[in-house]
Amino acid sequence: MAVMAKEWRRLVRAHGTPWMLAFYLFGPILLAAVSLRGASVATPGIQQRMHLVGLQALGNVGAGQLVLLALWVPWVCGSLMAAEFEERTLEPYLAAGGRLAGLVAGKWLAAVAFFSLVLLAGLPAFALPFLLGGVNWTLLGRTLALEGALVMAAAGLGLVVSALGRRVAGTALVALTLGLVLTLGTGLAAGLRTTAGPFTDRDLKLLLMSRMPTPEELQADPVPKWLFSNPLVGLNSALSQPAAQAALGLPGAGVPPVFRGFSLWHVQVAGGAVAGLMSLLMGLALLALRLRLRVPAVMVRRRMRKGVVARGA
Amino acid sequence: MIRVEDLLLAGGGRPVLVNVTLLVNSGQIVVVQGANGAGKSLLARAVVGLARPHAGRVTIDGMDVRRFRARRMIGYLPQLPGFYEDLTAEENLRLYASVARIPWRRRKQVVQDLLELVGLGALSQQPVGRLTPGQRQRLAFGRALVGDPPVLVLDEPLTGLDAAGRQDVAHLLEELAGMGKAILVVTGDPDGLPRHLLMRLSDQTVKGGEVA
Repeated sequence: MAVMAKEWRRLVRAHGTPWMLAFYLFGPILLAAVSLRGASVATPGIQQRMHLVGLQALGNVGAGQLVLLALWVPWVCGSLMAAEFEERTLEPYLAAGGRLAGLVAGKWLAAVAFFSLVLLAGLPAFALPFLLGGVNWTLLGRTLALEGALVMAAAGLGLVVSALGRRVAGTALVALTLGLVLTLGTGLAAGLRTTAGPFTDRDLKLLLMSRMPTPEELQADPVPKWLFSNPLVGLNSALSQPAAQAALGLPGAGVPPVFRGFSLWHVQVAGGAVAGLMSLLMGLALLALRLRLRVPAVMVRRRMRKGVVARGA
Repeated sequence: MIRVEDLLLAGGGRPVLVNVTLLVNSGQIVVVQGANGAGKSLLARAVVGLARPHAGRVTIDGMDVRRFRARRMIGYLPQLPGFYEDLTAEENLRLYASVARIPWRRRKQVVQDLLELVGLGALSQQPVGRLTPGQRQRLAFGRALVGDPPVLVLDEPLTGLDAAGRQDVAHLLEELAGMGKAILVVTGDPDGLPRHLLMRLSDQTVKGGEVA
């Protein structure tokens, strides 16, 4: 708890209170949403179109937040452990009887709590699609669940990277690069790999999340499995529901055969939580290893036998 | 209180300290002097359980220093004390007070008392990044005293201090020893430090010694 409170203070001081973000976002978005909602009520004919725009806006806002989090969280968390080495605070903490597990868990929890607050502060951004219509609480909940899972996993990933290096700049950059690869790199690579030629309409639509591929299309040209590590693909699946697809004139649910029987977004939410936990454990193990990796005793004894060092009195 | 037996320690891939034997009883101040690179800081780190000896053992009050309970009995002042620069002096000490499991109701008072003791009472709300090296050293001394540990291991405690600060620390050490604490000081320059015994580490080898 002590480490968590300390990290919380540091995060808030370094990045500002997330409520400030909400303050900036809330006013203009609410104003735009209310005026659009008013227009849709006043003109019944355009209500259906407003619903479609609302669904599209939800996808866009969700995707924007996912990309932002996928880059911001690793960038911040990628420096947490390295900062302990750089500021020489790890040894006093351990010497004072602090536990490594407490340190890693405290940092992870503080990061997750901070970015959860960022998510809450970003809620006003959803006011626009919500008030336009066509968006229900389930879709909003799925989007937020995905974003929460991404925060947990990305925080764990950042911690692991930060435990591997001693320089904040280096580890933060590596973590940011990993975030970039996961969100944008995998999508781009999928597009290039699928066709090994011209970028097809299907690839483009998949990347832009305008639709999921149909089962027939997937059968003919399966999506690479590693693409499902991309949170944007999860968002696409989370937001694809029969009613919405029918309204948008899209084909039926395109859950890939490998995940047939349960929705993909469930996999990503559960996977994110597990990945977060696993990363946490890995970070702990890595740090412990770093501290215990000393010159092997056998090497020292060999040198002593050779008489490199004389024994003292 | 501090017992070091036949310690073998390596640094940079070579043995630095060999066969170090040392005993510091309660109420004693033992100063270990050595040249640069002689292994003073490595010895201090081993005594607090941060450096893993290749042979021999370190015990605090009969308990192996690798045990959690033993480590909680030690106050450690490292050679280059690091702090959370963007937190205030008080916030830094409160973190360590929490690690030392001081009840939260008493924490604020304990930290304030320690800051007063090391002469930083007026700077308690100052971010550590804005403190001078001497003030940081005082704060590090305060951190070593959090939780009132019965054993103190101090690595170059006078670094960065002015004449008055050195005198303050010297008096404080005498006072702490009088309270029954076992104090091990490693330094390159023992002038001005109170002590009951002075040991020397020579280059590459160790003159082991024992204080009864």
